Amino acid sequence: MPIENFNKKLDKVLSKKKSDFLESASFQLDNRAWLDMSFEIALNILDVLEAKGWTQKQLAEKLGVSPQQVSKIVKGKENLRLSTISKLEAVLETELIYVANSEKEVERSISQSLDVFGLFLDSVIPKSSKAPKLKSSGSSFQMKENTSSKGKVVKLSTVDDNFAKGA
Amino acid sequence: MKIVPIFADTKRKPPEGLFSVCIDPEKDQRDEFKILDDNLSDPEFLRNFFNKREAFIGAHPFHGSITVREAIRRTRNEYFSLLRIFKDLAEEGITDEELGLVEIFKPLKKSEIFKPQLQKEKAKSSYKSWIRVYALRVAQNFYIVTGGGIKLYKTMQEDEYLKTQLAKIELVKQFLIENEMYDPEGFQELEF
Repeated sequence: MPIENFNKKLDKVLSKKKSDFLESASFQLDNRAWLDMSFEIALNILDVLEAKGWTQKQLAEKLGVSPQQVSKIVKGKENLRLSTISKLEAVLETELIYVANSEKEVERSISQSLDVFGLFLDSVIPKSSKAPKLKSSGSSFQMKENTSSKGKVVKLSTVDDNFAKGA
Repeated sequence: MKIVPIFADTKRKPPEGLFSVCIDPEKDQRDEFKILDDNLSDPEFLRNFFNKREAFIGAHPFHGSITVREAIRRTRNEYFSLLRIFKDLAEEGITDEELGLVEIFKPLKKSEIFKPQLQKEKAKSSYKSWIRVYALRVAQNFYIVTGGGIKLYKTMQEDEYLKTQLAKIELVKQFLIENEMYDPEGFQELEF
């Protein structure tokens, strides 16, 4: 049996306030990468506060900001500036984020990314159709497939290097 | 108590879509779906929640004996899956037979399966997900979210937090009955 005058009954109890769920969901899905970082930083701050026995209010005093500002930071939704992170790290005497700080580390990171890309290529390109060398147009870099005793890796080398080798 | 449309067509006869409730607007203006959304994305809430249950998740073989931080990260991943599901649902059609509300909400308990109306229902983001969204189905494609949470234990009664969610389902059910938004053939308690 359908409910009689359903819409009239609903109107009596319907809120005038509109839900912002869709806007909020879209924002979070579109900005997940930095929101995840903000979330992890918030968890790290909360861990340090607990270990030091500090309240959020005490942290706010040490930072010289309002308790509301600290409350926002530990909600994990703030797009934090590097200057804010540095200040937090100094006050908390803890490293909250890690930044690669040498050429070697950056190269290692690129190499790891390319290893993953190489594995991806292995999985999607049939062996017979796989070219041994990939050259991206307009770029000074080539991706070269090497086979070593440790297995297949994809390394980054400059075009000039390959010219020198007579490639 | 007020009913808040999340994504719904309130002019349609009967109304269709996903609604929620604002239980005490003078105390907290947020609806229950918003409160759940806030809790699941709040590092402090999740940290407190799992710290209180650390011994259980650390030793329970069903959950893989995980740490608090791992449990929080798992919840965050499930939360984003849930956001995607509800966003797609809002954009692609609440009445779709494969993607619609009827497909994602399941009866809260077996005894609810044969109750056609005001059924308590639950929805979850994937088979192994521990996030729950609790809702009442008032009519076909008319669902009201009453709350939700993280279900670690076999029954809702084993967890204080979920016991409050059960109480809210009953509270909203009574409110709907008092306001004659009750059809004995369609009421259903559901879970996502």
